[in-house]
Amino acid sequence: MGPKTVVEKTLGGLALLAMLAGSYVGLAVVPADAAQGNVQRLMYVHVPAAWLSFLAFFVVFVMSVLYLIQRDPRWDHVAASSAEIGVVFTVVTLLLGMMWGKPTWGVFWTWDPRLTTTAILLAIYVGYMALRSFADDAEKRARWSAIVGVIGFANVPIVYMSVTWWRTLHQPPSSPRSVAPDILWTLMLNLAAFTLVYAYLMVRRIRLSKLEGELEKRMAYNA
Amino acid sequence: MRKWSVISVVYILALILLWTYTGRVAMENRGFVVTGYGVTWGALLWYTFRLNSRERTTARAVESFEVVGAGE
Repeated sequence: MGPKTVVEKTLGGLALLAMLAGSYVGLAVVPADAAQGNVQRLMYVHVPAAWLSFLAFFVVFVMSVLYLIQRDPRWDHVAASSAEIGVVFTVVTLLLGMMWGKPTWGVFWTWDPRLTTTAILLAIYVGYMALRSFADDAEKRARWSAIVGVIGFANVPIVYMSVTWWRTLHQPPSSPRSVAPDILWTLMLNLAAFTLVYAYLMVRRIRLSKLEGELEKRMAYNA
Repeated sequence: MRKWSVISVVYILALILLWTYTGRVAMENRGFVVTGYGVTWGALLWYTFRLNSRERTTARAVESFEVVGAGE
């Protein structure tokens, strides 16, 4: 199994090319940061991964609200798919943060507000996925997970604001006006690349989710 | 499956190339930089591979129910 439609193949190809370009520019073209040196190159993958996890969980939130209003299983398929991809991006964000944290702070991990709230975010959506695997009835599963999808999203603004609300080791959000143009464009290129990857993975994961729904129906019919 | 074996080999070669390049330009903290990019690419490739494999397995299971249904 692989990409099926022309749109899917094109999206996959574009995502791959954008990721290759983003990594190449981030590693070999843009100059090293004046203060942090080469380790700052991790920002070009760390920040897009973090933003994409926020986007993925925002999609879960919107689709969960839609499901609770309309009870249409399509919204549940999209929410479940986005939650799973969001978990992958959150794990990548935390691992990259550790790789960046060790040379700059001297530790891989500390119970800093940004790191702690991000770990809680991961736990919430791992819980969301666990909940889905426990429920046998499709309608109950969709309803329960939609409720978790709505409540769980409350942590996303807390993660974002944690560097502003509390004293933290993690740097506060940068403004485009305070960042050198080379750094900003490289970051934007990688952000676009990660967004394409998310879109591609979503298309693939939603198709799988529908297939799983179909299998569940047939198993119930044959039982 | 063969396609994914080729992708795995290309991934490992790319990591070796990156390690060599960062050594040649004397990049400080290159272990962290290479590991970070390696983890990112590795996670995305692994997840795409998992999607492929799960989709294939699920599609087979759906088809098997079709066969059972046709026989009844």
